[in-house]
Amino acid sequence: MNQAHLNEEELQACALDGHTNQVAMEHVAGCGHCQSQINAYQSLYRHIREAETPLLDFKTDDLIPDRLPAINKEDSKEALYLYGFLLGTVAFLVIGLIGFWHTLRWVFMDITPFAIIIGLLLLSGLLIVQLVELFNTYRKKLSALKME
Amino acid sequence: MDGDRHAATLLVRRTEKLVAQIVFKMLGNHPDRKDLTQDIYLKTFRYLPRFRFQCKLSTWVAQISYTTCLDHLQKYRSELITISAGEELLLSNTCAQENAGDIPDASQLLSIKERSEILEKLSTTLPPVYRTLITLFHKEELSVDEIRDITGLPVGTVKNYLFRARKVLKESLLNHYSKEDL
Repeated sequence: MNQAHLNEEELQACALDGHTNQVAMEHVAGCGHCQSQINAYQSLYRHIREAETPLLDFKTDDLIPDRLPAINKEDSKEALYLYGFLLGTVAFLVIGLIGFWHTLRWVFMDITPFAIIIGLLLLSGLLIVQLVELFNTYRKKLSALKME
Repeated sequence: MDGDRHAATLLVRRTEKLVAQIVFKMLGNHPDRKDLTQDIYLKTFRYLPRFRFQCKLSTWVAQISYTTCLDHLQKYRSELITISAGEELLLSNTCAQENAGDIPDASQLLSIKERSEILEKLSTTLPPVYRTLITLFHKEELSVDEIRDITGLPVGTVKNYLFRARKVLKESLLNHYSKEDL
């Protein structure tokens, strides 16, 4: 049997989850000193766990101000900029297309069914990636709001 | 939450225990406790739009509680993390270690209230940060990573403070029971 006592760190870990290395476990099994130290730590952990939770000695409703601060509109401004940018881009493309139709129409005339399928596949792929991203963000937000 | 009192009430109800733990452990029985708790929730409501869902909402509220209490203590220049000379002396007390086996049997006879009182008495000698970390880890069962998020301390520092706090408390506890037995 290993004669060296467990150090304080090993004692704490052993008392916390009962896990330490094999040599240390064998030592603990035959060492009254280490066992009593582990017992002391386990007793301490129990004391802490079972200690009464302090309660606020005033009504929690008092903690909510009469006028709750209004939500900062930074986020909605960001969204407004994004939608504005997208709308502007679409408008630019449509106006450009109408204005330069005679020059650009060969692009659409020569388009093959294969190119259309490739385009659609690409679009669907992007859409799926975006949906997965949205779902993950939603899940992350929900788990963040779970408070228990 | 724009003006939604129901959501605000729900937020307070769900986090008040954790906030109370932090406030009590950081400040003890301080007369400013109510004002400080009110300040914590005012900050929470004011900065809620800045919450980026990178951690649990309760962790974020706990983070506000911890920093608010820390600012308050720093204002009054309280000792935050230094273990007192008396406690260091206690760490080298070998008499207590010899009676280590007496703790569990003796403590099992005590009620939860009595045990709470003993722990409360012993932990008053610990600096506020140590008291808070011990409570968050062992009582609230938060992970070291969550405690890191709340306190802003590196993981290594959190583990080191927890280690030292447990050691001091264990020695205090041994000392307490060995004195009781005499």
